[in-house]
Amino acid sequence: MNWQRIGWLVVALVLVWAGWPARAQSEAPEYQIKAALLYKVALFVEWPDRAFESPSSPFVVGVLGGDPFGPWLEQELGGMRIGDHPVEIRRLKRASQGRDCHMVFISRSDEMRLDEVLDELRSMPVLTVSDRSGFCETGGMIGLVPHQNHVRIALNADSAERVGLTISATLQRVALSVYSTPNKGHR
Amino acid sequence: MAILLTSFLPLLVVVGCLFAYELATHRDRVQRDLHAAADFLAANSAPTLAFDDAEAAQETLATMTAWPDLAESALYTPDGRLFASQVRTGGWKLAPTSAPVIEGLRPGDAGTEMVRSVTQKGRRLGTLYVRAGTARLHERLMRYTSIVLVVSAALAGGAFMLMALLQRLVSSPILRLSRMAEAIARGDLSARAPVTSGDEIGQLAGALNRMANELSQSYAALEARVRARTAELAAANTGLQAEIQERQAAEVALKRTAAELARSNRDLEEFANVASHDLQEPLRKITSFGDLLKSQAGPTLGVEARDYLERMLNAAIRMRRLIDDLLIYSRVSARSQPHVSVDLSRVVQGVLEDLETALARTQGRVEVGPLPVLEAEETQMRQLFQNLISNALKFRKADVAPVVTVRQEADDAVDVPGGGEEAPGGGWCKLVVQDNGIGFDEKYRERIFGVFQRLHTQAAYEGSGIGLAVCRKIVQRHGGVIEAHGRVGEGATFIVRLPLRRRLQQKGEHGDE
Repeated sequence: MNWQRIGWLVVALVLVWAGWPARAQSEAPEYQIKAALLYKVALFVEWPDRAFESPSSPFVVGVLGGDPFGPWLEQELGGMRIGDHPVEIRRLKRASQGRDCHMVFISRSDEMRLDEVLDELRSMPVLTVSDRSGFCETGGMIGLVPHQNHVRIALNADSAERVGLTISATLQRVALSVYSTPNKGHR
Repeated sequence: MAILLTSFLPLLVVVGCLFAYELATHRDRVQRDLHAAADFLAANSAPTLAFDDAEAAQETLATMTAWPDLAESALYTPDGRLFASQVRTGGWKLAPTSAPVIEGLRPGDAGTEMVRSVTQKGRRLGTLYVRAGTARLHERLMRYTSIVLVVSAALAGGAFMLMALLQRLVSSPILRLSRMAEAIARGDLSARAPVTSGDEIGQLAGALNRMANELSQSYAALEARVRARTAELAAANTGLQAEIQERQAAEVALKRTAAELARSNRDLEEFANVASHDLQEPLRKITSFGDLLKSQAGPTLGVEARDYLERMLNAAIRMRRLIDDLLIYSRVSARSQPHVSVDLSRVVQGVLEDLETALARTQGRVEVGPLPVLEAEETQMRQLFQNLISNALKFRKADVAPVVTVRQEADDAVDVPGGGEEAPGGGWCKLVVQDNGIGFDEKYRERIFGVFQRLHTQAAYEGSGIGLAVCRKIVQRHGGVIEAHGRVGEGATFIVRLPLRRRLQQKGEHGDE
């Protein structure tokens, strides 16, 4: 009977061992990495002056759809500054609420309404970020793309440019893929 | 060598300046480049750090080749880990393995290092390290050095060729000219320089050749003249020698004649002396026998016969006096006494004492001035003044008392005997004997000094006529001269010039008249 208990223990250990690899691959939780990426992307994008009420007004990050970050968004972005602007995090219920943000993360759970969301934000200087596949192809600005156990970025500079945002050229250096969609799907 | 040096010096100065300039500007340029490169690399590597893309970071750092001074670059993560690094090919890897703490620019052993943080919108993303190597400076300096070497070599080659050319164009012709000039200086007038070119050296060579030609011509002319002159001189010399021989012959003849003359003179004087003595003997006999005849047979003779006897005796007496005088005259020459210091004042005083009776008889007067002391034969001096003074008294005017002056005068005569010969010792004295007598015609001034020469008859003035001849003889024997001046009826003046010291060699010991 003792052997049974040891056997279970071994099985549990094997299972635990087998369950680790997903975590061990990136050393950190996926959405912690993605939360950090949001911040880092914001460093390399220039907003027009009209996007801010004052030089020290908050930089608003909105999450549209089901929040996948858990505590990581607050951990990575809470109390941080983009330039002189303190970061403020908002959970958005509707796409129209994104118009007051500078950066909107569109979660996978909100997939059905993507066109709507992009359309809603099209005329505003709001950087759209998502980890949906094909995000940049459909007109999104920054895509978070898995690549060889890493999260890389894809970008569509045209989309950003169209609303007055400037994505640093240097960012393209580290982008996995760069898309160009002049007027594609947006008439 | 000087050419090389003068060429190299400016080159060296220029290169030195270039080096100094390069060193000075290198630092500034490197710092400028480091700042620019750091700015660029920091901006471009920021997303690679942010998105942890080491590969892209590596690629970004590789763009540092755009700054040729950059030797090495490295990126560090904010926690100090080495993220990416690049080294220029062939360079050293000197970047620290962990992020350097101190930011800024600092010179290092292998070049200037710079450390700066990589930030994006105030967010520190990592650290950038860049280093500027010295390789490029070395490369540039090496390039300068090689340029210097190449230019130096070219200069040296050029200078060598120039020297060779100059030597061929200038030095060797000049050396040839100098050798020719030396040959001429040694006396080889046939040396000539080949005139090969028309430039200054050729002209110089031509001038030198012309000079050599003229030199040899004038030398030849000179030699000809010298030969001609030598010949003339030789001829003149021969003539001179002939003349000298003639003169020598003439001198020999003259000497012989003089010797003969002196001998015959001596013979004559000897004859006179001997004759005088020998003549006196028969004359004494005539006189003594005449006196005997007169005293013993006088009364027996007739008046006429007695007169004849008287005349004969007078003639005998006169003859005796003549002979005596002749003896005196000959003794002046024959006898020679040593010269002593003679006080002429004392001599004249003695003469005046002897002449006392004659003076009293004529009521004459002799005025004697100061007289010198001279070297002479005392007896002859006495004879001289005796003759002169008695002569003056004798030829007095019949109705005038005779006054005779004996004095010394300052000698103004230039023409002294001996042809202006300086008297040895103390010069000459001029003695003057002047009277107020009958005088004489100036034309007889030589004749009166002759032997037995008389101007007047025996009856008017007694005497043999030999006194002045004796005077002249004495004066001549003492190396002096005597001369007479006078006019008829106005007195006579006798001037005697005598040397104060005796002459070393008496000319005409035996008379040379």
